[in-house]
Amino acid sequence: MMATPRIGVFVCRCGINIGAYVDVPKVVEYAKTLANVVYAEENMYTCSSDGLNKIKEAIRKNNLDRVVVASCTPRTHEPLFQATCEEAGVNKYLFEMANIRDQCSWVHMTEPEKATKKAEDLVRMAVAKAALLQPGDEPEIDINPSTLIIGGGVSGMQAAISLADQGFNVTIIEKEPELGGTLRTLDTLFPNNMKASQVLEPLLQKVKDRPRIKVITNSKVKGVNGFLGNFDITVEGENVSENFNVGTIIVAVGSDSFKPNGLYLYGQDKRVITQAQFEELLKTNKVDAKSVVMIQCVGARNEDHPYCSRICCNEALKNAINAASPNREIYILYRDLQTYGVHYSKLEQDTKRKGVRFLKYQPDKPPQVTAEQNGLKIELYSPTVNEKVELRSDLLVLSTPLIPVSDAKELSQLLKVPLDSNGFFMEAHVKLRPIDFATDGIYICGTAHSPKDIGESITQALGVASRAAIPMAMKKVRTAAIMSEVDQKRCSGCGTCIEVCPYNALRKNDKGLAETIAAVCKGCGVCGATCPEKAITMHHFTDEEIAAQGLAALKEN
Amino acid sequence: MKVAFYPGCTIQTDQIGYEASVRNIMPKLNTELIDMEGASCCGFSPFSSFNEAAWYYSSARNMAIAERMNLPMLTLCNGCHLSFTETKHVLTKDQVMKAKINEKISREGLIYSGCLELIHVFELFHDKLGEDKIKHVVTKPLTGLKFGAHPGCHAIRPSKLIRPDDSENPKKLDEMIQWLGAETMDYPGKIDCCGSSLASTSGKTVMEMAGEKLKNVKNLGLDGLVTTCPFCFKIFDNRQRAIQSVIRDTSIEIPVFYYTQLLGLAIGLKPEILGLDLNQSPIDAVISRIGGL
Amino acid sequence: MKPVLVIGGGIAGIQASLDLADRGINVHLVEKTPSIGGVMAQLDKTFPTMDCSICILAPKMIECLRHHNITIHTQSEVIGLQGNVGDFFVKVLEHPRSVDAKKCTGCGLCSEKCPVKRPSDFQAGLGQRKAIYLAFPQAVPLTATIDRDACLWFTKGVCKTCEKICPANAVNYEQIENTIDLNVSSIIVATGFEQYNPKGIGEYGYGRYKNVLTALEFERLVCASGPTSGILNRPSDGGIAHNIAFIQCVGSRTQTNGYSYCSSSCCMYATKEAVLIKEHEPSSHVTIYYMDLRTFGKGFQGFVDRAQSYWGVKYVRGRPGEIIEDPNTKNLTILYENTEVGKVEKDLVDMVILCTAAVPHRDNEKLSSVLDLRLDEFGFFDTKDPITAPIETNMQGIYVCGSCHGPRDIPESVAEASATAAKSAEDEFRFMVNK
Repeated sequence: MMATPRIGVFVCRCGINIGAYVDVPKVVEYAKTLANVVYAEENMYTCSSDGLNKIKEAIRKNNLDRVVVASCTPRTHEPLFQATCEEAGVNKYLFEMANIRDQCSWVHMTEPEKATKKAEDLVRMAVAKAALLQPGDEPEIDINPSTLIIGGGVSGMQAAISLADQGFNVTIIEKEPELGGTLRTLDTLFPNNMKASQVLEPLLQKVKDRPRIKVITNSKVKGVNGFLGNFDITVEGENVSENFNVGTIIVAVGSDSFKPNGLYLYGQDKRVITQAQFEELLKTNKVDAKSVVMIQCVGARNEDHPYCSRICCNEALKNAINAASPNREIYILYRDLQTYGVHYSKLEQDTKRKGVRFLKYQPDKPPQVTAEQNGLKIELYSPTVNEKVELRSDLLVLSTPLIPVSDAKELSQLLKVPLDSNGFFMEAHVKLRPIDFATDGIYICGTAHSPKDIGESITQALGVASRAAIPMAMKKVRTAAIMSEVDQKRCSGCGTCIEVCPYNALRKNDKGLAETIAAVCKGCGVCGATCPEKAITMHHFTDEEIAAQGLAALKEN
Repeated sequence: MKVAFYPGCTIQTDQIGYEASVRNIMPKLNTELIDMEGASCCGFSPFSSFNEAAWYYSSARNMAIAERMNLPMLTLCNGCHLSFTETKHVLTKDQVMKAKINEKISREGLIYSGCLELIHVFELFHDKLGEDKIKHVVTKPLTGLKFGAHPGCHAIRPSKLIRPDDSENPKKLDEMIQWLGAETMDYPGKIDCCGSSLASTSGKTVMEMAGEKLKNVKNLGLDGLVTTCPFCFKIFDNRQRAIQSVIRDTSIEIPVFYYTQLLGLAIGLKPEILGLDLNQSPIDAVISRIGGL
Repeated sequence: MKPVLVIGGGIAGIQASLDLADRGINVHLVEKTPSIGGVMAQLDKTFPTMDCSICILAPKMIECLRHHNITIHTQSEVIGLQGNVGDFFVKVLEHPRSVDAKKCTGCGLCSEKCPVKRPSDFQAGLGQRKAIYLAFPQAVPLTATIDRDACLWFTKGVCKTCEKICPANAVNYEQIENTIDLNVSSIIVATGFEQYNPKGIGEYGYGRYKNVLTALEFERLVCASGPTSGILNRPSDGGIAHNIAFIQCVGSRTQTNGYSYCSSSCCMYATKEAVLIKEHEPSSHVTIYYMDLRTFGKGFQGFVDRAQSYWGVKYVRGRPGEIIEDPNTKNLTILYENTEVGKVEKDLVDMVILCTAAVPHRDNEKLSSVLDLRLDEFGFFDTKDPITAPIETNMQGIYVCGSCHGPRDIPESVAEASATAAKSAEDEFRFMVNK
């Protein structure tokens, strides 16, 4: 063990977030009484550039070698304070945070005295741990400047093109015989009725023209091992079995369309079709219906798929415009019209100008469809006119949601990335990291993320091309020193830790004993908790450190 | 200032009190009213909803008379003012209609060019005469009285045409009243219609609409309602008794004045020459407070 | 490798800058106001996660400040452009803070003692700041700035209190504006948007009725760092608002006062604000008057469902025709047709929040002429094609991201920011290779 630790404690007011409910000066005074604390101060906003400078100054002036910040959540602010410590010469792993905001002031607003005591408890715990912290060395890993793109539709191709144009090598894996994905099945695109081929052909050509892009069709990813910078990929297909190494992975597998079997007579009456089928008819000029009715939200925004699929309203409008003619009546039965933004608002206005009619229906009173000889009878209650309305049509077109691809789960398990409650891939953070996975080196774009239109998919594809390029351009990445370490003398080689690790971060070495792959390990602690021999140490969360925190929690103050 | 005086039909038939007050205060404000020979109905009420040509003809003809007099034209009624404004607007664009009308009125030796300046009552008192001139003639300020201003629809709508005051937040009549020494207050429904256009088809609705307004004025304890439009005045004043019975509230006793009547009282003129004996709403208490009785 | 110019320091500009800087490309981040952060810094929480907005934004702002590859120029604007992609020559005009950024610690003492008050832009006009002020507590850079139009020294030649009191000797009235010449390979425009001023819709009484607010004003009201420290004091009498109405599409989806397009995120931010009200005052009544409920994004429908089922937020489909104020209580009556039952109704509330349209920034015209960029019919920056080139413009090497080219939410702006970074990186690579 080193010399007696010199801990500095910084208690943040966070404006009034903490300061209005916790007696911050009292907590500061309390901190000064704790063992190993040689300095304590309060800040208005510790994370402001002024606050950070104060930390650095205090480190220098007081020769601090451990820092505790009692403020908000490490989720957003730990890296910031760690970097600040490093700038002042203190190893970032000698830093500890006490969350006296989310875990204290924010939840105990009505009991300021108790909140203050709790803040003192949290500081005491953090100080107890800080005293035992050891500096950490972050391993540096080399990044293979090449990318695997799973899925060769619009998103996959666009991402590949951009990455190639940034100087990186790309391999696209596509399970179908050809690239193109859903774009192949479309005829026209909204908002400007562009031909799908006008988008598809140039992309296909650009992919062909770039020697840095390798395409493997008719194949699927069967194995993924490794970590950011160093993923070992196994691909298998009809005549293909390949192994290669990439630095980053992009998921661009697209989505499927929900088939409304049994809904509104779909599957029972051939006059009831989906938008995709309608588009096919329009393309080949085979629509001779005098009256067309469209129903939105079929199988969407309900218990089965409790989300809005974003594009169905606009798809219906596009098809309605293309089908509009003076001899044809078109009705769109909707719940809420999702014509958002500048372009789709215009699309809505254009559709209305073409004479297409809109009727709102309520989700608890959906349209009733009956098949009759001379057409389909559609009855619905229209709240706008407070009456039951009856429509007759020759063709009923159902707008259904996009759903995750059938092998999404399989892929998510292969990559060890999560799916959300609707089965779409789940990003690291909905607002600020929409196209990253929490797992480093893997990214998500296109409708595999959530329903969206082609322009939005292209945007996300370009986005992941930037995200993936970051580690690849830097060629090396430092990973966290928070990781497991297997004591080779105590390990019995049972292999349980390897089985339970969610990140594939443990392997058996040539002695048959477990060993950590430092670069992949996320420090989650599952192995450490599982090991029957207690052979695994979780750096930065050692048994001693956690015990110290626990005992400190139980102390009276 | 000289103006061609266009009182309109209603005033000459039953709102003669309004005309009396106007004719008697104008000399005090150095404004000379020149009567328009041959003037007739503006066309709004009888024609505007079913015969546009007849409407524009009636309006344009009167404007042509004023043009021949080489004077700006003062209207008293909101409806008349809108009628003339709208006709001007249409005939500026529709040259064919303009030619048709000119062909007809040429038989009277008239010609409509469209260059006539229209003056609404608000514009006369608020914009042309203004605060200083009005305050100058006030000898019996209406101190201690608080009124609700009723600008009336046609003075403020439609907002697409230039109207004498703002369609959502009209202030001119309020200010004109304040210059007499009184206070004004915005009340809910201030810019609502009096309902008079519906009088012949849905009489009950009119009573309810007007009644709603009078109730709001009453609830705020205001001393009265002030207007410049004879149609509005007819409903609020002449028909107040009927309103009471339709909405079943006999406590609605709101004094209703024409602005020019209040201005006359503030100048110090006698109530008799301001047509106040023709007001049917209970105005005596207010008049005595001004010291007019 | 030449640097990239990013114009606009909101979340989109910040993300684009970080993406480029993290991969070794230098960035000049030019921001007009005294601090980066943009509108996101003014929000209380963000939908659908209910994250504290500044809490998730501030670390990114600090990252920009500390990043070796990013140079932030605040109080600066682009005034000239020449050249082509790969070799743009840009003139940037830096307006003086009258404060030495190297000496100022952001302690705020100057602001405390300054005698002149002005409405605070950060507080959406609801609160005040001084003539010398810090933009907001987490401002980056945390450097004071003097509003010379308000300052007594600059307008009348008196006072100078801030200079006397500053412990760091940082006040410098002699500072003058400075022109910088930059040579960059590409440009990313991320200048954001503005809120529609609902004064133009007279029937809603904004500006006349004290208790009618815009959504941005409400964000400041409900935010802990706002003028009332997050207490729902309504403006007329300071009483706690218990019965609150949101009106959607104010200035949007209209052919008269405002713009014909949909502003994309108002349905969601109204829901968010409604939930915030319920969190602050669980017994309050909140109603959202809408036209179409736009829940098209990831997690949006679930968020709205929870707002209804768990929090009890009411949604009424009807666009109010008028708001009437009771002159005594200053309470408001909303007159509307409830189109789900076909009846005209009146609701009495304490406070009304107008969800105003996201409109083009007033400086778009000026910037578009400097950069030679096309604007669309509304005044947003136009993109090359909404499908195939959604973030490219008519100028090669100039890209757009975020709300400057149309209303959108934060996740879209962030993804677009990364997309523009990719395009800039492609340009860098192409020019490096071709050298």
